[in-house]
Amino acid sequence: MKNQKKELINDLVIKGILPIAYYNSEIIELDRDGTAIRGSKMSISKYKQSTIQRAAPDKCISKIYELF
Amino acid sequence: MNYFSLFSSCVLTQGFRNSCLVDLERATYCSIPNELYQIIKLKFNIALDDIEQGFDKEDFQVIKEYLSFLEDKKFIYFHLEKQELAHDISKDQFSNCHKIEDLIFDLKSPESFYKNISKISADIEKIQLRYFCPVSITELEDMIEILRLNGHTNVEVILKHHSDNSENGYIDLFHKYKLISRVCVMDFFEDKFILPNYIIALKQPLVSHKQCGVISEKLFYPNLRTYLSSKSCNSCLSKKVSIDVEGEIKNCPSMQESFGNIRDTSLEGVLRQQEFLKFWNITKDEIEVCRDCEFRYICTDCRAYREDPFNDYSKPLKCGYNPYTNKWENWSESPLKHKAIHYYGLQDFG
Ligand code: SF4
Repeated sequence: MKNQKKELINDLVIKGILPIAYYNSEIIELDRDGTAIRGSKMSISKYKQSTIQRAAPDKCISKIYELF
Repeated sequence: MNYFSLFSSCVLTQGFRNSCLVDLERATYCSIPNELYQIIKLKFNIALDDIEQGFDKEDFQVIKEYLSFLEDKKFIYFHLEKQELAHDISKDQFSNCHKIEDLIFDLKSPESFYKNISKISADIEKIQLRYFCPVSITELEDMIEILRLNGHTNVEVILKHHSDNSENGYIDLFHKYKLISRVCVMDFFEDKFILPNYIIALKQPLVSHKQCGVISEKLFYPNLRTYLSSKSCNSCLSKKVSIDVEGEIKNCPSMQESFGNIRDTSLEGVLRQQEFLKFWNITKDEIEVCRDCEFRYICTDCRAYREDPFNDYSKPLKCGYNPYTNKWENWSESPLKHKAIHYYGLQDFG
């Protein structure tokens, strides 16, 4: 059931109706020449960290350098 | 009637002679004399008439000048009627869902990264990689890619500049990987921001973990996180785990005590050792001298190098600030610190 749901959502993503797919799920990417490649979302470059916000450097973890 | 209030993102910390007024939202602060602290410590709905009655004309004039300085700098604002009390941010609690907030991973070669990275779980808020060797952008990219595949989302890199690397190379890598939150390139030709706030290049050489522990105003982080966490736990070591260049798991690479080697010890196992946690809850309010310092909630701490190496609650050795005189001096030149400098072998790191 869960997998079916995943598939359904991934299908919507592939059709461009939903913006993202499950992070670890297999999705299809269309190559420039139209060939469909099936692969993990993590390994398809255009999806790399597309949903991750860059963390703000808000903390001094080591004091090994002094700023100018 | 005229009233004034502090903006609700502003907090006050009283020190021995001076106090510190911080705007946690704008990450800015200023030192004020303790006499002024007494006047504004209520923070909200302070009536000017009440102040006027408590002082002679001349003193009141000086206070008014101070207040208009604070208004100019946007720490306070005036209003004609009493306002409903704003939320007092200083009473909030800091909480974080990660078991480990920071992991410092010291490396003398990329090989040590590959050997041990599989033993580091992804439930770590931030990994700081410190390369004590020159690393090319290609090598760096390969390692960052592995961290990405392992599910890490926040990585900070400190490295020795490699002669093949260009400024644009660093920028491209940073833009390619959102998990990189900051890069510090040391042994560079000049001091500059390659990308303001995110990629910093420094002439300073990167030699040893012994360089760490410097307390300087330039390294203050006057934000809500630092402020709240400094009040409730140790601002340097709480929820921190480190792996030194030999693979020894420690509170911090600069500390002596090892809790096992990453070769055969799990980080989870180390977290179960009570001795490992002993520094986590030492707050600045408990540390000698720091407890009298107005900067204690925006500065960080260092338990690795202490003025008195045999006292866990002693002031950080590499801090040159004296809250009793409000002067900054070069810490390595203080005769009172010479014994500790020799004890830790820091003669060349002043
Ligand atoms: S005295 Fe303590 S709190 Fe004050 S600046 Fe130095 S290390 Fe920080």
